[in-house]
Amino acid sequence: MIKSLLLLFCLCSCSQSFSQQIHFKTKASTSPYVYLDQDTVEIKVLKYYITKLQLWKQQQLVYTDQRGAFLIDGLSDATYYLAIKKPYDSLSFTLGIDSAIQRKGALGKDLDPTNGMYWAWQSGYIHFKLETHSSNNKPLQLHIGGYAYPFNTIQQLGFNVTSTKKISIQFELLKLLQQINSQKVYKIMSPSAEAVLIASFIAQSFSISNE
Amino acid sequence: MNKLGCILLICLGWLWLCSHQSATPLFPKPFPKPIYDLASNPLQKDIIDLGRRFFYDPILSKNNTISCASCHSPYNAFAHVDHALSHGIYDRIGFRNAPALFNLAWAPYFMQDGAIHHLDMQALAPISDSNEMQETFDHVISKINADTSYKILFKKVYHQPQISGAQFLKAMAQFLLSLVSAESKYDSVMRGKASFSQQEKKGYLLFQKHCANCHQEPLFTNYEFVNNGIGEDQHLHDLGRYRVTKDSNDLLKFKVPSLRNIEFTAPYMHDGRYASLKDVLRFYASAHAMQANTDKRLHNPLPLNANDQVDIISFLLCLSDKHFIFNPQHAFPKSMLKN
Repeated sequence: MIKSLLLLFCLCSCSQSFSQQIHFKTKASTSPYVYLDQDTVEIKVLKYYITKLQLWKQQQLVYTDQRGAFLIDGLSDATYYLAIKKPYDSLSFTLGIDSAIQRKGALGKDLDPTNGMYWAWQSGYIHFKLETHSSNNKPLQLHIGGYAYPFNTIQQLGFNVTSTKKISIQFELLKLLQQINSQKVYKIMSPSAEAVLIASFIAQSFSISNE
Repeated sequence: MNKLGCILLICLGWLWLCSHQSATPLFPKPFPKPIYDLASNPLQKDIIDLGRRFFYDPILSKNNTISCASCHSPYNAFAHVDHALSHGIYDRIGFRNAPALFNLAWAPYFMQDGAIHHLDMQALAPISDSNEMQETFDHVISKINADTSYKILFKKVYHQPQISGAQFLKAMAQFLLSLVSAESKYDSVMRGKASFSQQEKKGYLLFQKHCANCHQEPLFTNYEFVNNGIGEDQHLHDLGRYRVTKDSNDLLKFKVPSLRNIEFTAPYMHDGRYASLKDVLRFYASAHAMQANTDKRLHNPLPLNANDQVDIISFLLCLSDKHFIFNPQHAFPKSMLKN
């Protein structure tokens, strides 16, 4: 059973040259099931984009990740490394693909449309995709996207970092499911007011833990 | 010796340039600056040819029967002749009249409701549409990467046997960018190399007065979304731009199409409801019921009598570009037959 999917930022510090390595990892669950109100929810797909990862020291930007976008697969063991050379006390990232990237045309690697995170009938990346199967309720099909007003679903997240030994950015799926359940939303496949609401719930389901 | 070396180098450079010949980017004189960022996808002849091959290859569809050219025929300026709506996979009928394809570098968005915002991304829509090709994009890419004849081509063009989804889309976009139509009689007249007949001239003046506000020269569209007042179709209930924006101001609005090559692209309107240009002109010149957001420019019937309408049509026929229609560079690539 998983209550949360973890995006881990593991940080090792080498005091001599003050070079640090951030290691982020999506923690794979031992089983793709979540239990919610006597319902067994099986996660079929959980993917989302993280872009513009930035590190800050006393509100001054010290590092911007240049690699663009990370497609995080909540059901696999993806691992990313970042090497940085400056200390920091907070980090921020964007959940989703902003309009500057969206308007660039066809892009490769994590942004390649073969990843199944691009809408076909209407241009735009799916920022967050969750598909489930459930024993008691309708299956969820949430394809949350939209980058332009009034259906902009891009979320900016920021967290203070108190310790740089090991940082976990945690996405709590159960928290999201509870919110969705209360809204009785099952299927979103295009930019809409509903998608904007769900996107805010998704953002609220991220948290940080410092060790 | 040094001189000889220099000459040799220049010759080698010239040979290299010839072998990596870039296609001439066709930016006809009166056209504005293209919207497509060509620096992000520099035109290259071998990539255009690859995109052309993709365009004509039914491997893009689920059961390998439907290609882009099935509904976008070069001899109809890449529209679908005689089809109000096109039939795709398993003879399923599509949702809208297949539009003509040319001068796409100048289009700010695609589809009649503007749902696609970049030419690179356009091919994704028909590939996945259940009435058109009903295929998944990643499966298209794995099919072409498994195909022996494509492997040879990819090695030649990209120096690797397989390509990514992004490379496929860029190649397709290159072929689409190469479809430039600017050699009509109208263009010749504008360049001072031909002249209109009396009737064509009369038609041109009437056109400028009554039609050119939306169908602006030289592209013959202003790319606006407009409700021209034809009313909702009875079967598809296509709400136009509203589908994308969900804004009631956009109900029944569709993109103003270019009128270039209009002779070859019948039937007309987003649902192909008018079979002939006569029908279209008659519609604009007659009184009909208005919707709430029918464009103000069309609130009153256009003051065009039967003769005026014929004169306008005679001008519209001057927008036919036979060089474009019969350009062998755009046609089915015969090299595909060998494989």
